[in-house]
Amino acid sequence: MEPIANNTNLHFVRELNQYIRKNKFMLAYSGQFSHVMTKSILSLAEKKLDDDKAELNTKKKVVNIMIECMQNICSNGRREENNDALFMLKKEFNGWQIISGNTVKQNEVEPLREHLDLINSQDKGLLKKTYTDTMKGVNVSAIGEAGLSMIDIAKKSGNKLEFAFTPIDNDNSFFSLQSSVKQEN
Amino acid sequence: MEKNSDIENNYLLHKKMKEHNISLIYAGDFNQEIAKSVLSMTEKNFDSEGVDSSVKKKVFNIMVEALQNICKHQQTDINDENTTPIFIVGNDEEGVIVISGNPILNSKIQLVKDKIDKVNSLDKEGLKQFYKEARLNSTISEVGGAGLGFIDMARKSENKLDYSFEYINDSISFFILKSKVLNAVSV
Repeated sequence: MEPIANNTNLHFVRELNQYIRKNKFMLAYSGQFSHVMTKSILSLAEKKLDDDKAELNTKKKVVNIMIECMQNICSNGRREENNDALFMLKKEFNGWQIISGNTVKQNEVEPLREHLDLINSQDKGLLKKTYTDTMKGVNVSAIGEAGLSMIDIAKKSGNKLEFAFTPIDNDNSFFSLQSSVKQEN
Repeated sequence: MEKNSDIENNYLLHKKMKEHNISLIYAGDFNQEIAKSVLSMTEKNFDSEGVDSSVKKKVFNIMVEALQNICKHQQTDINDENTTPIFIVGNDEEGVIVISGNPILNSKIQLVKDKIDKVNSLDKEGLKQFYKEARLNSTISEVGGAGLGFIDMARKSENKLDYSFEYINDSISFFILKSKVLNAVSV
């Protein structure tokens, strides 16, 4: 059967829906991250996790990672006077994936990459030590506050962090950070 | 870990959302708690964007209708993995948009299309009249009657409802409904 009323202006909704299905995401917010907004996103995500029967410990981890991600975005925003960013929550086969994305300056890319590579090279015990050292002010990374929260995300997730820098223009890149939490049985 | 092609798509999605002035996408089944959260989140978003309170009220009514629409359809006999209901909120300098998308049986398309076309053909007075008649004639048991919902949305938005039915397979299509509330013109 041919569609009897296909409106090309709205075709993007179907495209988005296909993208969503393919990537199994359930929530995406793009815009300014104010304090109240952050709280509402968290509350919606919590409801969704309840609906999906996330085990309490798993839910706690996901929410904690979400908070760190959004704090990252907010602290980045304060510097840049523009915290136009992306936040997503995805359902995976046996867990959840938390994704944040924001614009960073080109000169921030290398320090971020080095820091994330370092985090990914460390096992649980070493991560804990790096975290304590950073807290104490020993070994503070070039990226400051954000550095600490990324270690925290890695600790909570228990999995390697995935990241990408997509060039936007000569001065800026889009920094995506993905972490996953497996459902505990 | 870097240069994962999947992860590069995040930026594309961000761009796509910006391009269509979308701030929130929710995909999946709805229950009352989730619907409440979506509503509250949109409210917070409007506060930070400085949306006029009369506009806010109208958008709220439309969102409730749109969410009800989705809920109603998710309870019907369509249980296809290929279709996920979707709910979108966005705003640009003109006003606020609310979009819902959900699967619909092909056999029901003509009926729904006729209802929306009828609503779109009426002016403000006509809509008011039609609403009264529809309310008197509707019965509670009427599943998917929804004529009232469309009339109400059109009245609140004061704009034509935009819609599309996108073919999925021989039994179902994807029904997209968009309404827009224009910002109050300051005098």
